[in-house]
Amino acid sequence: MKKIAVLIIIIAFALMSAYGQNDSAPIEPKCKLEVEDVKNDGGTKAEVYITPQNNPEEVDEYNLKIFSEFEGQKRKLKDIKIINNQKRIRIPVNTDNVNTNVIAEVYVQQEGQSVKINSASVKTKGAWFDIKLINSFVAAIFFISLIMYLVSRARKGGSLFVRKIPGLEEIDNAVGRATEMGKPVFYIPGLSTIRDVATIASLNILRSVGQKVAHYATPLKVLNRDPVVLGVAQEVVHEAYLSAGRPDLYNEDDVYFAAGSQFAFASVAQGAMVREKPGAVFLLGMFWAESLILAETANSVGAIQIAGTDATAQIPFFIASCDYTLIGEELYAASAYLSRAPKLLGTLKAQDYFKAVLLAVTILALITNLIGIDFIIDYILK
Amino acid sequence: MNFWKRRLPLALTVIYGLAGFAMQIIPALNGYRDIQNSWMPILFGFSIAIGVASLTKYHFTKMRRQPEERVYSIITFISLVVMAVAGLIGMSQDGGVFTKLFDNLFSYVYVPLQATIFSLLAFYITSAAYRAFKVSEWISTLLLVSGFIVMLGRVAFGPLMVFGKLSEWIMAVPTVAAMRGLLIGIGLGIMATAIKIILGIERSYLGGE
Repeated sequence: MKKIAVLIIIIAFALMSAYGQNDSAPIEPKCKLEVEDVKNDGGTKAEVYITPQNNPEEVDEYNLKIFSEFEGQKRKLKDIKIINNQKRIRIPVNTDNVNTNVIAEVYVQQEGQSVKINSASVKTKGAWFDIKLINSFVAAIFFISLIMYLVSRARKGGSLFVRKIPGLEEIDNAVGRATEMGKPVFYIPGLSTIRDVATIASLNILRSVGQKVAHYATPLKVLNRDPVVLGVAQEVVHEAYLSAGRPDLYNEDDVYFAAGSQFAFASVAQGAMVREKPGAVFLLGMFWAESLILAETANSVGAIQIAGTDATAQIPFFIASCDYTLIGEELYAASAYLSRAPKLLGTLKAQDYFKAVLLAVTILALITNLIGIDFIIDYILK
Repeated sequence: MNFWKRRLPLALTVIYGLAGFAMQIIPALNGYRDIQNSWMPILFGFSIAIGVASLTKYHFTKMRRQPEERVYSIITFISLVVMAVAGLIGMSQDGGVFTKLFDNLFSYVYVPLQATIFSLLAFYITSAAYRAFKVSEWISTLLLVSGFIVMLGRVAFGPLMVFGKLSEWIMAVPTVAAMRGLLIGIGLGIMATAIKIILGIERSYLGGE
């Protein structure tokens, strides 16, 4: 009996001491919190990393609050419950402004209350050079230098050979044919906006076509889809008639807004072609699915067609249905080719030399790849 | 006149061209790029007025001078006015009669008309393909054979599956090679044109040499 009583007392003491130890060392919720500014960006991004440092039994979840502070205004961006799986978690943050303080705070629930256990912050900064664009930057500088050199060489009278482009050689014939037949010339500068370089290239060609048309006193109709392009086209045609010495022939209504939507435009152009039966149709610029509708309608009315686009998906359609097609880069070469201005021809030669450099690098990469040296091709494909 | 029509647009082109280049390579200027991009819808909003004015003027002139084509211009003008009125009044009366009129005109007139014009493409593809294939040159024969293989490859089954593999090869190797060649040329052409415009070498778009 005495032994049993002693045993009970020992167990009771052991239990009490264990309970006492729990009381004396309460769990301290901990986590590692890192806030980093994203490098190489515009200065509006940051990343928050949280790594729980308690067992899930001790702290099952953390509450992460992310704020942005700009010009004294603090705004909550995120309020996230982080389930404790003891792994480092990344949370991307986007702010509206550059140089914004991104503040992260971590809270846990203790005795029914939310208690802040950690906080960190960083100020977002915009990078002054996007290092990912270094290749493009170096290539652009090299290309600009090449252009400047060849333009200055052309200005000094150096001869620059430019290969024949049949589509551009035929512009005179197309306008002449329309004149002989007593029919108008139709010109469509693509369906894109003025932001598209193909549209600008097309407007450059429009000037040459306008001068030729004015010279022969043939009616010219320019159908536009974009109102801004319309304004520029009107000005270009007007100037072309002026420079040809026939401003009296210019009629503003001949350069008009056909329709704003893609297939409505196609339908207006189709209708105009069928009714007016043009002798020559120029489809130069950016085209989409309507390219074949326009080209085939022009073909059906017996017009000579000269097309050109940089939309690779539409080039086969133009080749199939038009008499002459300017393929891709030929559209951009047209202005220099038609004007024969030395400074413009210089840029054309720069394109050719740059292409030769690219071709040489590609061949070098292929050869080195064949003999087991991969770093050049890896760098190109990266 | 020369200042407003030549020098100012050229100066603005040079400034915004260089700024655009800088904004591409300097991420810190992204905010300015966003501001610049947000100007585009404003400009487009104003440009719509130019488009509508041109359309109206063109069709009024046509109604006066070309009586045989008057009917098309009348239809265009009525469509323009009805859609504009229904859209503008409908904006302020959500669920009202004008909203329904606009929605119905859009869904049951405008969309089917667009689809009709688009569907014409099927017939035009056939006629263009016929002309492309019938040209008696070896290159058009090559085009015909590869076109035949690709078309057959798309619907191949059983023993004809060999055309499927051949079709995949044609699309993945020679076609891609040609396309990439074109794209390199186009990329350089775009760059050269942009540089010509930024540096003021190319001025045809302003009406000058």
